[in-house]
Amino acid sequence: MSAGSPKIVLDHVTVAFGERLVVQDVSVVLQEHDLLCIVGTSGSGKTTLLRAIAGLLPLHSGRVLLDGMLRLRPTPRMAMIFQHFGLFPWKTVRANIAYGLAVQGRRDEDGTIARLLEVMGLTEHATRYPYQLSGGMQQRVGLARALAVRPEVLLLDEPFSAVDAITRETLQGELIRLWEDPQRRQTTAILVTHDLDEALLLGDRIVVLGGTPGQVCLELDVSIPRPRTPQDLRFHPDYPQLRRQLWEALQEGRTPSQASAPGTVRLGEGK
Amino acid sequence: MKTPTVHSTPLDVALPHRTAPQRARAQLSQRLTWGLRGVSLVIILVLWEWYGRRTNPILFTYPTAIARAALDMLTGRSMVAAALLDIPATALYATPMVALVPLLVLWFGFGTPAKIMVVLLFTIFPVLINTRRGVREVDPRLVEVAHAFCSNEYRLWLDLVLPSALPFVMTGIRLAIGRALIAVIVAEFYTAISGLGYLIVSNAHTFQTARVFVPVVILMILGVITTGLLEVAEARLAPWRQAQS
Repeated sequence: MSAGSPKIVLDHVTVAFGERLVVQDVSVVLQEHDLLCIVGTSGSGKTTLLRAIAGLLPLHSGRVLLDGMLRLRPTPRMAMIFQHFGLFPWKTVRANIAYGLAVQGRRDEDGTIARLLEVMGLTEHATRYPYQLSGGMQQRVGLARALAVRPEVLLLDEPFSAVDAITRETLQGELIRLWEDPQRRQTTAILVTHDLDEALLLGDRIVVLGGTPGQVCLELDVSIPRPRTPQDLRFHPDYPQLRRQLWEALQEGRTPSQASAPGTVRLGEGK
Repeated sequence: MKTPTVHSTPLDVALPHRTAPQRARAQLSQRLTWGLRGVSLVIILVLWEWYGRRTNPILFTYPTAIARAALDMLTGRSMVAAALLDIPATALYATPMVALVPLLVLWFGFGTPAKIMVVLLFTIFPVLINTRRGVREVDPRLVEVAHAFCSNEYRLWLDLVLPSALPFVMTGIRLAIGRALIAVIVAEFYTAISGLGYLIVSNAHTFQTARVFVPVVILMILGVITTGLLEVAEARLAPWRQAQS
């Protein structure tokens, strides 16, 4: 990874609902154009952590730094993609994609919306409403809406878990393709998933969150070279070993007594 | 009409029918006064808005924030207002409004004002209660989407609260239409000097059954037409709801 100041720093982030800690003492450093996957079982606080990074939840303690600046509230520099798609039922596909730009008072200067419609294969659906689209199409709209604001940081909350397996693989392929687009060299992403293969397919690094409250059990660099396809991944010699490591960390996280000591996890050699 | 006046100002020329220039001037200056008052009010509000938005919201506020808070309280986004208004509103809604008609006639007489009041009382609660429910039924996940994209509160209303409340408002209006027809007829039964209700009562009293049915049929047609119009309006306003049900 390129040396330089980190894009995102999670510094001993702890999130609580009332008195109950949900995420405890998570420290991660991300460089620009890193794609970090956060893996965990349900209830490990991975979605909560992502919402806290987005500024939708207050931190109990710790800090989130974006380009070295403290980030407390949602910022137009980040965009989020939701498991439930989060489309507005009363807006057409085009209006949904344009939503981010509209609320941020920005104009679609260079035909971003039209290009995204094209890239996502949504051009002919532009005037339709979300209920007229399949789940996969709806999440394409969600992805396009997030990309339309040209975010520096993309936050993806189990983006493909609500679509069927075949659509999921297609969408993962599209995400990889978008990710490797030279235009997006400045984008950094954090993706939350419970699918180990998805994490191995998409992530540069993987953080396993486990225990109650959720803590970092393992951090892993994915050594398999890009660009990856699901086939490349499964037949790569490193794959079985990486997957076993993840699996064991997840199992470990489920039994709190054996949980590995929470500590600072440094990702990225640039620091 | 040409009236040679001593004080021939452009304002006098603008009103040639006024023979007495003093009177014309007085009236115009009154209009001018109201104009000036309006302008000053607008300037004050704009300045207030401009200054208020630049100030810490804990220390000061601005007009649109106040308007929005009022709207919140009226429609159910405010917990305080909900606590204050829920029981009185429900109590009034549950009261058989027919019971109040004699009282309203006593207060407002036999004329149109009484009828208007009766219709208002019959219709306001279904609309109000449904609107409040609609505003509360906003999908919290979409509220989070709006916050994630840094929507301000005004845009939140525009993009989220109003569209998601719209079907509820429509349901309220649909209920209100039926109740409005009842209200008019009941009011006219009581006042009994004009209208469809009067025709029904007076013809029934003289056993002219065929004549009784004329206003009844008219009422049916009215009900069907207004409900149909409402459906057309809803399809226009909320196209995303088509084919969902």
